[in-house]
Amino acid sequence: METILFPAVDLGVIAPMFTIFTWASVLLLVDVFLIPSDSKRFTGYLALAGVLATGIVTLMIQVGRAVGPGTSIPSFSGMVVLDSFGLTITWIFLIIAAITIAISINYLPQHNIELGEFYPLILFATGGMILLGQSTNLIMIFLGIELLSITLYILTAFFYPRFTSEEAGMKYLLLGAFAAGFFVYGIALIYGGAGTVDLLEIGAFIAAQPAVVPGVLPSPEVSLVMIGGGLVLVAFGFKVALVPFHMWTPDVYEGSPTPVAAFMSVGTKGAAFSALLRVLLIGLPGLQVFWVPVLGALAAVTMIVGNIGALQQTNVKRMLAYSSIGHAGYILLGIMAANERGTEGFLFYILAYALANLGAFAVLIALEKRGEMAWSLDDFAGLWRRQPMLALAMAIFMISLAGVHPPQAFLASSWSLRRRGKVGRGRWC
Amino acid sequence: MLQDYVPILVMFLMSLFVPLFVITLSALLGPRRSTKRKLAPYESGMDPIGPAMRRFPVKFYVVAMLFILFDIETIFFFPYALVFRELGLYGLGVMGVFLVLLVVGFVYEWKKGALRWE
Amino acid sequence: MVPISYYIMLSAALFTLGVLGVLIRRNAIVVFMSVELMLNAANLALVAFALQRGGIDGQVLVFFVITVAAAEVAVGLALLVAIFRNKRTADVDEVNQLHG
Repeated sequence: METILFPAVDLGVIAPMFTIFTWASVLLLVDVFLIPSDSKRFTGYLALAGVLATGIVTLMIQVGRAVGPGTSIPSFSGMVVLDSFGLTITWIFLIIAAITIAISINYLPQHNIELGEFYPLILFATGGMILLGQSTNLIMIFLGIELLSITLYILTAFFYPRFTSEEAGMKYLLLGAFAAGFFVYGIALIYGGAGTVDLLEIGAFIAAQPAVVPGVLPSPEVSLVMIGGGLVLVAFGFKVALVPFHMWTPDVYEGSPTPVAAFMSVGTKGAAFSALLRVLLIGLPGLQVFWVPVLGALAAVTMIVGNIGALQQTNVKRMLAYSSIGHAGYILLGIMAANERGTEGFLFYILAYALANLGAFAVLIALEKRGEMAWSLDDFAGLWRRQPMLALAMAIFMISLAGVHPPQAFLASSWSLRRRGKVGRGRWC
Repeated sequence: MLQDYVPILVMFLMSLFVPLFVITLSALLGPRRSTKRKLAPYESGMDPIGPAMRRFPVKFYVVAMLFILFDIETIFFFPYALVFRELGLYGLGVMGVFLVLLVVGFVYEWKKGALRWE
Repeated sequence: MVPISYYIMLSAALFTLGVLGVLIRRNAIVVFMSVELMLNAANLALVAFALQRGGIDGQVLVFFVITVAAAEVAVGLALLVAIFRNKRTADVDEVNQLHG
């Protein structure tokens, strides 16, 4: 009998997601058994406590393992890694989850959809996002994306039995499953070419091959990896709503409960982009000559369509959806920079974008709570006289989303633009 | 080699030929005297009511959904069953975690009443 | 032995059929089936490549793909039942109240 070698397992590497998944599973049962249906608010508080506990564990890991720039502790046969990028994005996800839960606690009972399952589902989705931020293996990235997506399908349709919500859930699910098909086939082709699904090994495989240049037919193996990479890119395009894979976004945002739309807009983007970042920078840096122009074109089209589309909308949620499409284009520029400062700019941008976007959605929720109909842009006319504070907050968030002011959003977007300039001089010309 | 599959091809051809031969033979030779009773779907049963493509209760879908979820777990158990001696305590622990997660889902589903038929 | 390239060609054909099915068919259940076809085409390719490479990464991924597909279908069926209770239809073209 062949002896089986066990991989070295370092539970510290997965401690944050371990905590949040355990908490979510236990919370699901606690909610069913212990919490009466008229006090589901308490489940929300417990979920917030779970996010807090995950934050404490993350902090302990960060301090205990002295994770700083340059640290990289792989574990589980190199499937997940503990590094400062992963931990930073974990922090951002935890902030997003906490804000989402906080704005849901009052929103759900007002709309008669207060079910305890909402909060564990948010925690599961956050766990999926953390997994995406830490994984360095295509299998793990696939699992993270699906974990996040499947919970989001359910959350999108949480307005049951409101029909538009179910429709949004259905559309999201059909397109998400379609994208998953592309993703798996892409992985299959990459595996066929490189013989591995580990990002580091894929990178090493491509580096060992003769350099790939446009115009010369690469070896069959490298071509397989390239086609597979293209399919994976299509799947990511669906998840982060890049043009031309963005059609679902406005419908899904409009149909889903507002806190879910808020969570989805920032969470999915952050998680999918951080995974894409690792795929491109660790797995496929050798094919940069191909993906830099493709991503550049996608980013340009996405920014144009997103921003022009937003101008035409009269529904606020649809407008925010188009704005999030436009932002996907900006984030893509940060990724294309493909260097350490590009990564920093990406993290910074995600944080600034998350805060501004969650803020805008929170204002919508606050308006709905005070009996305002915050669906159409016309409803905002004269808001200053009725709700001055909310009007001011909305104005600040909107301006911040537009990338003008306050300083952090401005800095982030100019940063990623400067990256673009660098890429332009370095590689295109 | 592909030649290894020739017997399967022969079997396919045989299984195609024999039924066709029998059906043709009975169509050519057999007498055809149909009566009302013979034309009924079941010669000695109750008359079928309504079309076959009718809708059936949603409850079946719920059962189908739950079945899918708990059916798939076996694909993880089978490989484990093959090597569980070699994996020893470590494998037992890992599968234990897997099973605990399944049980969480099962308990939730039970408590929610998804298993109650009415 | 059957050459690996045959499996890959078969899986590419199945994948294409699945994509076409998603794009052309209008019944949500048929669309689900087409997505399953895409995923299983990928599974076939993974297993074939794993055979060629002699590794098990591909086979392991197949397990996870099957599991994820089951979870997706379960959620999809639940949504479909909910929509059907509302609208009495499974046609994706009739499910179209959201547009801007």
